[in-house]
Amino acid sequence: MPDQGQKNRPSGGPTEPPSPGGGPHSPKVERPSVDDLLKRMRKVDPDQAKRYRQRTGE
Amino acid sequence: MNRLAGIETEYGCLAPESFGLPTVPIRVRDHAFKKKKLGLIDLHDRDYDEPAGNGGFLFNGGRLYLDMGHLEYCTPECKNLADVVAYEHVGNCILQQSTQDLGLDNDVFFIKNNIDHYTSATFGCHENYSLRRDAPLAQKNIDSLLAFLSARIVLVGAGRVGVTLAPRRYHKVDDTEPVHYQISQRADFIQTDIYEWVQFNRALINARDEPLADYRRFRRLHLLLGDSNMLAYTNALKIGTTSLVLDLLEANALPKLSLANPVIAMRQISHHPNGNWMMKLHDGREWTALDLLEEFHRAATSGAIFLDDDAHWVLKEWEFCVQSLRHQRDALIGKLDWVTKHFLLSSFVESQKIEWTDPWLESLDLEYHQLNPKRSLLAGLPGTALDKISLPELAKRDYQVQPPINTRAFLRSEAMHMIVQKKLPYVLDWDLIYIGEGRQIQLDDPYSSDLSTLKDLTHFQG
Repeated sequence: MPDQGQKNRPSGGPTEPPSPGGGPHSPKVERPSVDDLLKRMRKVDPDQAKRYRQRTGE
Repeated sequence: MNRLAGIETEYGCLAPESFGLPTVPIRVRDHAFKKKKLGLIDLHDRDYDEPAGNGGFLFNGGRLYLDMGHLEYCTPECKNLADVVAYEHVGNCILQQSTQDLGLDNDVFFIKNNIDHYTSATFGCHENYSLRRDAPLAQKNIDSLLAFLSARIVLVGAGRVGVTLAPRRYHKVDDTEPVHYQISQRADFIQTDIYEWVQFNRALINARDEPLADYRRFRRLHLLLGDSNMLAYTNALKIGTTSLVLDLLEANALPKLSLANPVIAMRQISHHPNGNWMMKLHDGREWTALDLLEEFHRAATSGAIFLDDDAHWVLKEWEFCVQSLRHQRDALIGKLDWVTKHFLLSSFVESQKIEWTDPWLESLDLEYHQLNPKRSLLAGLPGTALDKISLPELAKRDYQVQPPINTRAFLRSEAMHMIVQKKLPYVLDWDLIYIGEGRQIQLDDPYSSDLSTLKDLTHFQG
């Protein structure tokens, strides 16, 4: 398999892919507001995942 | 759909260690059966690891039980796409409501995901599809099905923070670039293309031949490569696209596509959410995952298979998603899980000015899969609920207690009500009901909801 990472774009970077072949982009879609969600996210215990120990299932 | 489908979900549970025994999953199971009376608990062993009392069938036709310590919910057999998604969702509601009823909801959280980030544990979300026994399972068709299953993760992955590496014998070597976010929860745990076990050497296609119906007429395709999806739209797309591809299989009309290595291809794609998703074909050509998905879409609209209302919904949204993944990924926020989760986490990274390596993101990854609506990240996103995605034939029904009316789940549920009413001893299974001393009712046609099947039970007195 060829290396699929785009060298100028780190993993976890922005979600918008480049337009294939350099063609025009579709009109921009407005992203939903996340102000309230960010407040909710800030309340999440940063260590929660360390306490989440699960058995392997199927 | 032209077939039956169902979903089995193993839930993770975040509970304080101080809670002791019985475990929270046991308490919730007991509450669902003994207090809420949502079903009939098994009176007999089903298997060595499923003793009497371990779980039971629900009046909605599904099952709730413990499996490897996880609480697991299985939908009834569903003929309509909306039913599959609705019955899957009601499993979340049963667990969350029971947790609240028990007064545990401030301390205990059920998480519908497939990994923990620290122990390499994984637990599944399995799909079941009925297939005709005479489906042409020739090698070329199996290869084509494997190609679809490998490529479909760009539509149906649930997204995850980080990576789980395993021994090199599974070809899971360190990437040259770190993987901070990937498309699929399960991709790191799928190790082979076809195999019959479900806990080790997990495969893209599970080869166990266990139709739970008349062996002469039916097969059951059991898939364990999928992620637990939170968004109704993704769930519908997962079941709907796969069902259409199985229609093509039965019609012997699958595109002639064979990947060089579908397992590694899927993992490579998963590790590169912003990559070009190239997949190497057996004949040396290279296609992107989106090219492959378009080829299957084209085959499904070629006239080779019958298209019902569900199929028309699926084909429209399938095309929309592929086009959006090519040109406008933001249009999929609130529709596809991995895109939505990535958007939320990216927004958080940006606002907090933290790195993608911050362990806080693993905790937020879990929070995306929260069942508790007070904590769920998706509760704040508009338009994501099942009744907002325009699925055909969404019934007005109490999905917790009422079964689908057009499959054998209806008969199972009716039989369970009669068993309660007549106080009969019973053994319940997917395709068989024993009542009293040695009387049995065969439910070996999963498509039949003909009440005359239950005539022996109707006249039976305990």
